[in-house]
Amino acid sequence: MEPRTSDEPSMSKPSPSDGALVKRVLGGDRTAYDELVQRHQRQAAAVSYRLLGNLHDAMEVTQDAMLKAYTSLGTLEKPEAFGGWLMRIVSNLSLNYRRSRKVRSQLPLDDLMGSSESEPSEGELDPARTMAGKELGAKIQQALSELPEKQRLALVMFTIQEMSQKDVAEALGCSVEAVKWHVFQGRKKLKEILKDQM
Amino acid sequence: MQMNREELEYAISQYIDGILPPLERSALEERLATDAEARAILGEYQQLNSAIKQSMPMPSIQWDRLAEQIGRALDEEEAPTQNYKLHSAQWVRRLAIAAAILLAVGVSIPMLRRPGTNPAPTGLAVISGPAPEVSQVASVEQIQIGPAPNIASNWQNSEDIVARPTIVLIDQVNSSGQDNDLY
Repeated sequence: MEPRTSDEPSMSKPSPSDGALVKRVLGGDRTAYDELVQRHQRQAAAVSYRLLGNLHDAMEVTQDAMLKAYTSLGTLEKPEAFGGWLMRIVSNLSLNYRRSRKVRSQLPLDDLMGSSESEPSEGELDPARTMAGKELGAKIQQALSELPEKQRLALVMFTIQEMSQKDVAEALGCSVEAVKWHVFQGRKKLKEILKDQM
Repeated sequence: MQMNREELEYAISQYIDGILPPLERSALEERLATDAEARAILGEYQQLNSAIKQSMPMPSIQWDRLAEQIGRALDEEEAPTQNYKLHSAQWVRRLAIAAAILLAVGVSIPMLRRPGTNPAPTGLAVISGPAPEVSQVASVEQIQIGPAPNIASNWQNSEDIVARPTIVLIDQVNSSGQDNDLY
């Protein structure tokens, strides 16, 4: 089992750092924010998608989160923590969106979808296994939605998105130790909910 | 030390994430080597973890287009500025607290340096002001009553009038506005 360091970045980050980009944005350089968007939009969209279970909604939330983060950037106390802070905005907006489920279509989204689904894994080439996998996936999604918010967020960000513990802690507004505990509790409950399915 | 079931599962959860500290990791691996139940629990968590990760594959997205859309939306937003207000308010509060502490210490230390003595004597305040005015007017004024001088000669025949008091003492009003007793 390969150890995962607590502050390992979840995706490669070319220089300059997030903190340097944030300072440039606050200094009036709007293009620096484009770089931050490019760097974090995949993770933001993926987290939102896994919380909402709907790609269209996830894209809306991702765009809203990026705009909210931009307009609120002056309140970010630790510029280096931009990633975790953005994920907090994404998760809050996703959970609010999930509660309200309001329909918004201010921005065209259809042309954002790729021409094909993501590459199927070897197992997915077998229709029977694909179907079983989809069913299990739906059950896992349902089980995830039954977890307390922090456990669900911790599992989505840490286990599925493989964000660093530090970023997850920043996003959840808790300690790294608490992140470990939320992940464990979430897994334990999922195991209990899905005991007849696995 | 033997772990209970909860501790074992927590250790396994961290183990599959690769974040279990080295010493605990060694201890867990020793137990896994000899404890079939522990290995079964590890297998369950690994299977669950794998299922979670594959449960919802991310569809293909045109990321460049998404970034462009966000960029266009950002063009309509007001540029963010550093929020100094909150920070400065915190500094003002901290400075005020520090000043209050310094003031309290500055006042209390000289008092504490005089063991067994009473508090310092109260200072004598000398208040100066205008001296009380001495009235140049007599406090009692005599006024004449009775017949006017030009008719005085005509009054001599009238005894009952002459017998009446010819002088009335009228008191002067003092500075406090209260009347003194009549003499």
